[in-house]
Amino acid sequence: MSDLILEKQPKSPISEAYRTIRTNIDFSSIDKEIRTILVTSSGPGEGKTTTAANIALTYAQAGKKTLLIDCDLRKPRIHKVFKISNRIGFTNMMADDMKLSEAAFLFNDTLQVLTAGTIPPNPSEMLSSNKMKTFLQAAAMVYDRIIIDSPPINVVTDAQILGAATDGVILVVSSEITNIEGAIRAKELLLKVKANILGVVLRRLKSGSGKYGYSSYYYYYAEDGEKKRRKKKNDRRPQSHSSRD
Amino acid sequence: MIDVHSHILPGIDDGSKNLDVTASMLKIAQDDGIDKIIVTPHYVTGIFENSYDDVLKSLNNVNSLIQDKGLNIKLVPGQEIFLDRYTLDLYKDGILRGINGGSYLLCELPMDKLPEDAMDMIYELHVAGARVIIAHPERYMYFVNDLTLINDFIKEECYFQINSGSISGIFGHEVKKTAKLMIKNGICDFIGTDAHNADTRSPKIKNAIEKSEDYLKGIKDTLIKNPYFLLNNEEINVKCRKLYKKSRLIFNK
Repeated sequence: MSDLILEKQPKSPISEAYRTIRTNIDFSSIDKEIRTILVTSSGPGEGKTTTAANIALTYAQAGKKTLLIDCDLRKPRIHKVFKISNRIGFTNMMADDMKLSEAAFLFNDTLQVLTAGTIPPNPSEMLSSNKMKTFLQAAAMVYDRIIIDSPPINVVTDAQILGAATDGVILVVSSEITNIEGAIRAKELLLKVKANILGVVLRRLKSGSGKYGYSSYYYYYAEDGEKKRRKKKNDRRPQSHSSRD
Repeated sequence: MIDVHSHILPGIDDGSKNLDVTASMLKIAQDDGIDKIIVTPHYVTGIFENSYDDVLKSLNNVNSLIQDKGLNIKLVPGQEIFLDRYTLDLYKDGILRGINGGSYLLCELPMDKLPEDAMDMIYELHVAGARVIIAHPERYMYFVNDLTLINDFIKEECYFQINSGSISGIFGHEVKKTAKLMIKNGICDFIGTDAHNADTRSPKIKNAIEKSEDYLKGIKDTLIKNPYFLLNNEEINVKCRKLYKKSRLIFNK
């Protein structure tokens, strides 16, 4: 579970950055509570799954009843991050009328993980079905937060469909991986379906290039954090930028 | 030495035909310095459906033969499982079990084409607590053509068993070359004989282990020790394993 930094090192600066993302999401909307959140990116390999899993964990750790769904029905990976079975999951629930309680994995008291399940021949149709809409509405009644992982938006249409059906979208960009045109195109695609872009999560930023050098200071504030000060090598540190349009 | 892959049990699969063949195979094995054999009859859905319990029964018959002949070889139960979508359920039902009742499963894949869901099947077995050993990967056409395909299996923490016959060249030049490349990269945890009879595919292992030491220094020791971990169901160290990268030099193959 190397990607689940919030499980392994809850006091690390990276975990703190995820908690900041949580706070930023919660404060980004005053009138309407953001319950369903989509995580996507412009291309593959930019850190969607890791971001989605850790954001789900921050909500769960804050005592919110959270459901994490792997809607990347083309290259699902959530099950690998949590090291759990993917024999049954989201698609089985949609296609075989299975109950959510049967298909989801109870990670802890507050977090349930719904893996992708058997890869279907028609992911987009499944995600745009009425059944999917009904499911999301019903789930929003039961869970405080629903975090959805998705395929890259510039590659397939799935994330656009989901973006239109959720309360908010987080766009993940990776330093030195995401290209600028790709990120702009991703934003356009989301705005086209009137998705509510909550903000952008920047990942893999080389330390030193940012102006917030708090990574080495954080331990100073942590109550019982590790004694040893770690060198600034947290190049995977995500930062949250509120960029509401 | 321990042979981790053998079709020595008589009349149960395409291996030994009868007790006489088994007896001569046992003799060859003992003369070659093998003192334990993990018997691994095929389990192929619809063709050879030998459950773990079937293997135990057959193994008892051969044990009495060993006593009669006064041989000094111990047999250990196992199965060679053809990986398909039924494998996980069969494992959970106890029809398939790990070697010596432990968690190591000797699994084979199709020779000609890598199944699309191979990695998913292996992942699910790992989640279910099994540890997958890939049987004779050097013989699969897709690995022979492009060994980089094996990197997914390395990342999924599979183990690899190479046939002694592949090293000596009985499966052809290409297979021999692939076996050599794998050993050079440390992608070899076991050498098994995959013996099917007493002549063309006989249970000899010694030369292959000696030969592999020429390819990668220090591997002989590992190859001799690993099967003991297997029998005790202990964790096997794979620290010398490298991801396979294609050499850019044509003459360096």
